[in-house]
Amino acid sequence: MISALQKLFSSPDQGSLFSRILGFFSTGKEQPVTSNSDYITEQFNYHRRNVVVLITLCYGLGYVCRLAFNVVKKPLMDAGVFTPEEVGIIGATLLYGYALGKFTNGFLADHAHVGRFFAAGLFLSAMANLGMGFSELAWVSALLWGINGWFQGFGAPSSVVSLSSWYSNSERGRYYGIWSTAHSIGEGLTYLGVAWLIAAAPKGLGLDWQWGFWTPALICVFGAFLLWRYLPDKPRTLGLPAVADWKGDHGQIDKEHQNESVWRTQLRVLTIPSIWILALASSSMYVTRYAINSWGNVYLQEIRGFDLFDANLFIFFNTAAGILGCIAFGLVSDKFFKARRPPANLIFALLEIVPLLVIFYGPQNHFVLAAAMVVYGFGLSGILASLGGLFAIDIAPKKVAGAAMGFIGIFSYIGAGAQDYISGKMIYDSEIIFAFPHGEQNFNIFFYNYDKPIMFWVGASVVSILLASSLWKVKAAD
Amino acid sequence: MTVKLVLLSISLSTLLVGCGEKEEISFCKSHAKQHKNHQSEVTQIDIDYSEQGLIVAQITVAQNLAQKEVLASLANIIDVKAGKPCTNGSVDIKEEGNYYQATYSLNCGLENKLNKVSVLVLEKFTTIDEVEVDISTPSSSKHFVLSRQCDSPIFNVN
Repeated sequence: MISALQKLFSSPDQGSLFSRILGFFSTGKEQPVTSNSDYITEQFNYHRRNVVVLITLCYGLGYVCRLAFNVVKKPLMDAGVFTPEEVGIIGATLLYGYALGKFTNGFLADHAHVGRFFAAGLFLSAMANLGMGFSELAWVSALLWGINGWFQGFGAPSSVVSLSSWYSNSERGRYYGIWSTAHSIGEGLTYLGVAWLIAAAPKGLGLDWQWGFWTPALICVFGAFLLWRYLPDKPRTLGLPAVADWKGDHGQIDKEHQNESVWRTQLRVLTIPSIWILALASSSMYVTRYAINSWGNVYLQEIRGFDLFDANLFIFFNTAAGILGCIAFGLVSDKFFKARRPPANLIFALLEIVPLLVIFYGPQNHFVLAAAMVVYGFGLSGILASLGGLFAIDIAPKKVAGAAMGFIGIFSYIGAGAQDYISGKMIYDSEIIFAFPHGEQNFNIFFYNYDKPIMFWVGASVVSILLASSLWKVKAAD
Repeated sequence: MTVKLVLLSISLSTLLVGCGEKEEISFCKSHAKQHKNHQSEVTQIDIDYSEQGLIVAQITVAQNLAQKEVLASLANIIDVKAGKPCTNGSVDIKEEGNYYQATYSLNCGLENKLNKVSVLVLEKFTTIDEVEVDISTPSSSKHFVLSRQCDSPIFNVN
């Protein structure tokens, strides 16, 4: 890795530093396809195994650097470092940064060596987390967290480009499902691991909230190293055929646009109406998803009276079940509905919305809450895998999968970001402070009402499935 | 080289986390578990804010820690900042053994947004070192201990 960096910054005969950086991150030139079919099969098997393991593991590790703030929200609010509104603003900046990152990086990822590209994003995200541990100023934290969002946006497009480069149409659902477990792995690591670091003893180590950022930074540096070292470029740059040719698995061929440039095809994605509807459906679903991720553990501590560790443990239940949800969605839609996503969308949406109602309006029982969290996580992760990407890359031409994903992503995270601010504002507006002054100091105890935010979170899921169901007859492209 | 770096990082982390922990911080971290040993001697404050907008606060305090004439004035103990002023303030004080049991009532109304409720017990009675508080609102309840030795409330009290 060091020698690669030395080469990048010291070679005087390859143009300007900018063009060398650009060249370094660009995908390689397509090589003539080798005629040795055994070699091709061997190489595909080797790289396909590496790709699915690496993008799943490292995207999961990257999540820890994205979600750390959610776990330390309550300690930050209790300590009076930030108000709920400031917490909402800081949380929103990450999601807006991520939206922008997913969009711009989605377009870039189609042209990039995804191993290097993904690794750079993860490393820079680690640096932003490091900085967060030193900041108690709302605007500094908002800036750092927003930049972190942009760096986080390197991961998903890189992963999707890898998936569409190394897996064919009929099997992509399954591998996409496996990759989507990264959401749950990362969320689980955060909601159990980071919560364990800062929860009070005996349930946790009782470390200061700063360690909730510094530890994820270390984890992400490790993930960046793995990607840099082992995630391959596209098959054609390695002298292998396109995966659709190798597998003999072609979808509907759009002869009119077959020889179109990547840039032109990327722009054409924006003219597909079903992509726009899917973007809005995904955006609404992300409102609920990030509401539970961002405010769920705060709600469980504030309203249901759990301590920090237990509250995060309940959130972990939803993320752990999500691992099964992702895999199940891919299998169910591939096997039972012939790779059609809409019927599976409807089933998984119901599995998401019903338990959501139980969580907020059901009996105040720990077992019921845990069971509802598990079913909710299962349903949400399935539909997340679909609306957040799989359905989009089905609809879009495969050579611009990154752009389609980026387009859906920007909508999704604008929805998620707006949610974080709106939720924070609604919660802050309901604030009642019980103050116990003594001398020049105050003990302040904060009370919040979540009735309005809950209606907002559940309503968004209902809107999402209505929009997604309107795409019932849409079919996959090649 | 790598091993040395790892060991150095672990040592620095241990120093950052473990060293310099003051005695009072240690008390604050462990008091949630220890509190029950002296709970009966600690001043108790129970506050109920109902959906109808009624605030009822009950304070049970040892007579040697508080003066009855100070307790007798609602303004000395509770100050409410709300969208509209609260009305019908009343105080009722009973003597139970060596304790005063003071009950304060205020009607803030249904459509009134409470912003801040200040409970002035620690300010008015400097002899009180610690209070145990129960607050119930229409949305949630909280139980905690406030000690002058600690910078923040102690939750999860046994």
